[in-house]
Amino acid sequence: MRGLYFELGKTWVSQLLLQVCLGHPSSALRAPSPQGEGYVLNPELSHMRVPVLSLGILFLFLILIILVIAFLFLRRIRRGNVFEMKSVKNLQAMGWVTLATILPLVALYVYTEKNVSGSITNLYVTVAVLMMGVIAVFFFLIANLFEQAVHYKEENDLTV
Amino acid sequence: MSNLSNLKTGKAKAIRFSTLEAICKVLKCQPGDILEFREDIMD
Repeated sequence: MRGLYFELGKTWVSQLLLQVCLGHPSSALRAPSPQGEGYVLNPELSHMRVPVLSLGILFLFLILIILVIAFLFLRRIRRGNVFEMKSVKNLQAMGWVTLATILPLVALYVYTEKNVSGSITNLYVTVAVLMMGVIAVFFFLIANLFEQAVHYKEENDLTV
Repeated sequence: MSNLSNLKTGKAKAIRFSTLEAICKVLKCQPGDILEFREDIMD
């Protein structure tokens, strides 16, 4: 499992994640050399590589789930089946998954705070947590509006 | 056709005045001849 994480650590997304969380910010923007030596990890923080990478990948995986649900939702809208309970369920699912993304972010915050007290990267994580909270509330709001719309549509459809 | 289907299956929740007028016009009757209040089927 450990080997898998290190293999994953070689992809550009994980390199970027690691650099943002553990390395010098400017090196994250620099393109890697063909040998993959372009990124410079702070040696004092290298033990944080696996946990931070795992939490980052978990976060990205949850974002991917939201995108997949959003794609299914948009496909339903394109087919004209807009005001259905399935749309409401989709929006609620997106809201819950958005809330779930806060968990790895909080874990990342706590882990970083324990290892590097007063880390500036935790500021980004805090902003991300707040943003995810706002987005989740937005999804739930839209879901509630859709639920009302479904009731109105049903009332209208069943009027002879 | 969906209106008839809703009426037949008992799903209909409401009736438009225009529908009621059309029915009364065709059947030459009053709404009271079509509608009936029954206490036993109230929610």
